[in-house]
Amino acid sequence: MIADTALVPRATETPLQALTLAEAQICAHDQVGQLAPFAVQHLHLTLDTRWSAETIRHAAAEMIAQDPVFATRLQRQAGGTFQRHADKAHHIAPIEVPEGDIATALAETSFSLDGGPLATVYLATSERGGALGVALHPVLADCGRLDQIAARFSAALIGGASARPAAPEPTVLPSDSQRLRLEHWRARLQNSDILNARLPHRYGGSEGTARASAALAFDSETGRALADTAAPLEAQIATALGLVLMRYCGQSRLRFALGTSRPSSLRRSEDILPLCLTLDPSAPFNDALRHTMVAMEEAHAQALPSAQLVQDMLRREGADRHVMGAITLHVQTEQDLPAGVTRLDAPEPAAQGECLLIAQVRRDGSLSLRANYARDLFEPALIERLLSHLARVLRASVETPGLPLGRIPLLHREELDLLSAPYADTTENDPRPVQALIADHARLTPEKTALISAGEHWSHDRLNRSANQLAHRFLTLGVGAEVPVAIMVERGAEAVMAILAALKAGGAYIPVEPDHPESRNHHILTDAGVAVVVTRHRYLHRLPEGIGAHVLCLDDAPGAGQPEHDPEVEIHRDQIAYIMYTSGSTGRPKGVAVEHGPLSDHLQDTARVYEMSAESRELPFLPFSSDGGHERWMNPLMMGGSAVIPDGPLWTPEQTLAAMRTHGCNNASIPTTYLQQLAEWARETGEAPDMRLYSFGGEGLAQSTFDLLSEELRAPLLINGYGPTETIMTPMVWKVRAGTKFEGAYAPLGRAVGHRRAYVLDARMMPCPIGVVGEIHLGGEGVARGYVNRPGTTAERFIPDPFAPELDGRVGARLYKSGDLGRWREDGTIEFLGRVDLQVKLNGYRIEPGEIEAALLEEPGVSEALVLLREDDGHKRLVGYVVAPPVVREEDLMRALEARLPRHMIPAALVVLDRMPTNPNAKLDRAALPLPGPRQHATAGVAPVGGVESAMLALWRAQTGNPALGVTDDFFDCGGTSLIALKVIAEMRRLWPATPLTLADLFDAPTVRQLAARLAEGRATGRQAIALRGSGSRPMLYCFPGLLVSTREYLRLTAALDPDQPVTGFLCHSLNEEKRLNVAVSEVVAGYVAHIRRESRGRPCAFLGWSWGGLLAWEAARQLQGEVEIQMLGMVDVCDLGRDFAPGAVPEFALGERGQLEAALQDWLARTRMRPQWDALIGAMDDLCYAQFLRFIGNEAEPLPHDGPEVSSREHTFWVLIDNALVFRRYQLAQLDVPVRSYSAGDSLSRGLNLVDWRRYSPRATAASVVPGTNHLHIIGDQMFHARFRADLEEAQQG
Amino acid sequence: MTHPAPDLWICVKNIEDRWSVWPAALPVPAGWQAESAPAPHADCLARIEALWQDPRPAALKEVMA
Repeated sequence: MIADTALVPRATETPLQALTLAEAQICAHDQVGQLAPFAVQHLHLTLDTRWSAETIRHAAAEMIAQDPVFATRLQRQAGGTFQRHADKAHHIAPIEVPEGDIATALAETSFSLDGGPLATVYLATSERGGALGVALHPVLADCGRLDQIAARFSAALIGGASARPAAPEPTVLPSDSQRLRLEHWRARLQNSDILNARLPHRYGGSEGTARASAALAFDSETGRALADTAAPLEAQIATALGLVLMRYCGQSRLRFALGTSRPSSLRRSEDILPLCLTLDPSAPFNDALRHTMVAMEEAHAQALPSAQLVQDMLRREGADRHVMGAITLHVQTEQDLPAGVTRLDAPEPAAQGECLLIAQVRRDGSLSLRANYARDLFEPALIERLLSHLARVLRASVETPGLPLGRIPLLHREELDLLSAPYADTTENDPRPVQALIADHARLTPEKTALISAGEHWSHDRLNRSANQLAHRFLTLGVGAEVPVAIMVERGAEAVMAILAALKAGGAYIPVEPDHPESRNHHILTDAGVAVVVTRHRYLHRLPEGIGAHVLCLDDAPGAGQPEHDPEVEIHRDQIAYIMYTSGSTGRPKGVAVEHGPLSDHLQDTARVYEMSAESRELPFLPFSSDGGHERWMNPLMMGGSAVIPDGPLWTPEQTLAAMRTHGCNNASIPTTYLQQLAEWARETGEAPDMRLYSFGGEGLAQSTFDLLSEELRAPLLINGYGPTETIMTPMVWKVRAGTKFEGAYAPLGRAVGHRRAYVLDARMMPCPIGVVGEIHLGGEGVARGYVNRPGTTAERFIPDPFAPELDGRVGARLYKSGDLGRWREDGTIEFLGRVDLQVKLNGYRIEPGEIEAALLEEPGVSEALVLLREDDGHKRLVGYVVAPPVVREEDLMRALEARLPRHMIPAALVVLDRMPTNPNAKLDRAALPLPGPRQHATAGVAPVGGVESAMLALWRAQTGNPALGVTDDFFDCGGTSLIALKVIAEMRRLWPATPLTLADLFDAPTVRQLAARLAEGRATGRQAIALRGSGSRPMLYCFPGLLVSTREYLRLTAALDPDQPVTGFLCHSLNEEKRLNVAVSEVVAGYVAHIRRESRGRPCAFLGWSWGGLLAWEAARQLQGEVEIQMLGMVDVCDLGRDFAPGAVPEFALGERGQLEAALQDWLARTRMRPQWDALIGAMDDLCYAQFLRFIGNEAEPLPHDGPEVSSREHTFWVLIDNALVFRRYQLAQLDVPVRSYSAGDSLSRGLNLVDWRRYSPRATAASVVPGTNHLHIIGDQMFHARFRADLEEAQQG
Repeated sequence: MTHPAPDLWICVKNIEDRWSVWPAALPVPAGWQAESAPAPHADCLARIEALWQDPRPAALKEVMA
């Protein structure tokens, strides 16, 4: 296949010329009514008063006369291909319009390919000055061609000689060079280490057809400075784009598409090439620039037409939708024009990819950037920021050339200030520690309830006196600053009292849950040098032997006899208040030490965010082994309110809601997992008490859970809290009204609280722009001192804060590296995405398994989900594990994910488990997770009964290659693909001809046992239809099969449609019975029509026809006219006969070639086992058709196959195709008045296939919807197609 | 994360006697002071593990002295 065979048309008359690949592609687009991504090309010049009307008219006439483009037309050939030719007689004349109308006239100009002119020239003149407008069909022109035309007009204007292109058109590349170049690109485009760079997509956004644009004008100073640089501007901008994308994607090897053109070509020459860059973040801009120039040179040296590359890559299913690059960059320089002539049009290169960027250098040196992007895929603000980041990088390359790439700031200081800022709060905090703030209320409201626990009410006064007495006892035991006191008591009022006592004595409390594993508790009790342990008699045996601490049992009233007044102890801001042990997943728990100053500030700041008061009565459900559990009782007590402390660790939802009601709680703080149970209970019983606030946290909160609690728990205010222990309790909160909607897999973490800032940083400590994933860092005063006895780990996790000096004027401040991934959202809050150490990279994409897990958890029945990257036998793949009841099928979950997630996030396999494997510590045991594969079935050992079962089982096992398959296993679950199904059916019909089974039987009875029973009873359905989804109240969708398809191809589409949409698939007739020769289309559909007639009974329905199925659907619609209302006829990549077999397309042979081909045919016929079938088929051909058949054989690169007649053999397929072409030749598409929506695969258009323009056959057909990045075979499983088809179908059903 | 991490680090100490590590290639933030020659990350952490024996901030040490 050769692309650039353009000849050199010097004269204004040319013979018929073939189109280039690119030109044929544009025609194919035009033919299905969808010119995009190509656009009509506009040239718009204005001329000032120095130019007379006469000169302008003369120049326009000269321009038209000299350039053959104004006399060029296309001619349609039989089979739908076009050829072009120029004829002097076709020269167009300019149309005179008022000057003000030119822009509108240009915008409204459209062309018809069939023989009409493909250019229009508008002219406006007054006495002096005027304007010229040229519109050209993109098949004839591109930006470079417009420049030539403008130059020709200018030359005529000034009376000089017209500039003539000197360079010859490139000659055809020899096929071995083409092959080498193809290999060069394959190695790059298939290399998963070179990322096809993408911008962050909007959550749940899909690439529709709508485009949007954005623009940014550059200051001319930088523009001129860039122009003064020795390197070409194109390389500078490409480098800047590479750098910005590196920062967005977090990957230094990446690629995007770069526009190319041959400015001297007389044919359209605009194209794109992939530009692969490797950027070193520690190198300065100029180093990267040199590398870019080398990469550009290499790309140009290996240039191939993009259509050729795209077609090659799309042969693989699952290839990237935007083969050449999701992002495309064109850099253009405005040409020189005579004085007084100004060009107004903006360049319009093909809008390929998710985002097209056009940089244009103006004649005055200024630079402008434009973006044209898929509207539904990106936030407009994201694209605008992309342009400004490009501008900043280019500016930095001039102003700070020595800065390493990784350190060029993308965010301004002001932006960082806003994004990182905490909740606004200017209140001064009380400098005293928390225990002093709580003690205040013992004096102010001594009798008021402070605690309710185990049925007992403690007043503020009682709590304070008891705590004071115990504190005095602690003092006698040497407790003071930096001395740890362990509180090993179950959650309750006494635990709170003992904690307050430890604080009052100046000690640091360590909460120890008595029922936690002994080894963990022993570590906690010995790690920090505990001086005193407060416990009960019943827990004494759980203490480590020989513990060197004083042990006080609350049962012995250890404070008895001690003074009841506050102990006089000075507390320094920097001394520790508590040590909290984290429950790390690996290694021993680490003690996090928190100092009094930051703790008191945090609690006061939080109380204001939570709007706490003396009226607050909170139920803190969080355990005392988490710091959040302590925040939630300290907060109400320090405000003079009260807390209801649950006396047992496991209250049922019923008990919890009852306690809230009984005690009149208005706040509750609950772990996220438990909150869901609570909301579910509330939904079932309708018994949620009225509350003011629920706060929750502990893990990612999915949208569905948030919606549930938002609806069912009656509280106006919700707070999602986030916080590593190292940053004190809940350093970040997302505070919202109930009913708030959010975008993303998890509820936002919100923003920082109090004297803190939250940042999203990349690996070089640079702030990430909004939407870009990085690690969450927390800084400010509200961070812990560090880890007890672990200075190295402390130094690693608490790092110098490089932002505080500039943003807050604080020096020597620290930042905590959270290890959590997040990104700033458009509103400045931070979204959680998973753990840094769980993030995986596959095929160049960074993937957050948490996002896939969240999608799995949205599916009904799934209670737990885990996604991980497995590497078995050196093969990396994503595997999802879900806990769900056995009725949940992996196949269905997979389709649900496909409808929800981008392609690169779809796991290679899913495994449904009844529970996750755990080790003795109740942690997930990753090593025990099973390998995915054909299901492990208990039935593999069930012996087949009787000869039929044995023979069938042997056949199935052999064909699926799954020796574990048992007689009660589902064929399709055990490795039975569509193709294998066809083979198995064919083989079974041969073995048991008395009961000819069809695919419908295999669908209905997918196990050996069931199918053997059918054979025994001799009851094959004989049905030609399969219920792909049997239930649903929407009108039925009937899917008509393409040639040689198994109908299972429609399952993915079915899964992507509304769950209430029933779908029926018809079986392909060529598989359904012994294929008869030359059966008419009307006969093929007769069975389908009878089925629809029987089933529809006056109800409306919709049709889908894929490929050859489109013809069947059309014929069925014709036969059912007036009987059944068809709400929509979806035509998927339906091609008319091409030049191969179109009636009237006379084939050409070289001298003697026809004789050679006939001899070869005879030779082959003598050897094939399908001789009788072939003879019959050839016998049915007329002379032209036989000649076309010979030509077809001659065009085939491969030798003729003789592996028939088995279904799925190459020869059988070949025979069916030729037979089909004959059937097609005899079929006339009738005019029908039905609503048609059609869909064309991008690849089919790029091949210039003769796609049917349904607007020619129905007044209610619309232009096709083009699905890029897929081909004729794969379109039916394509997500983007599914989304568009669903939207169209639902719109049609609404009428 | 996915960019290659900087190779060389230094030990740093702030005005409160708290220690940390910082990439050698980047300017040391205000209020911190370099306390070692550039070295691999693990070496810097080992050095701090040995040197930073008293976790108390400077002001507290002074009060408790």
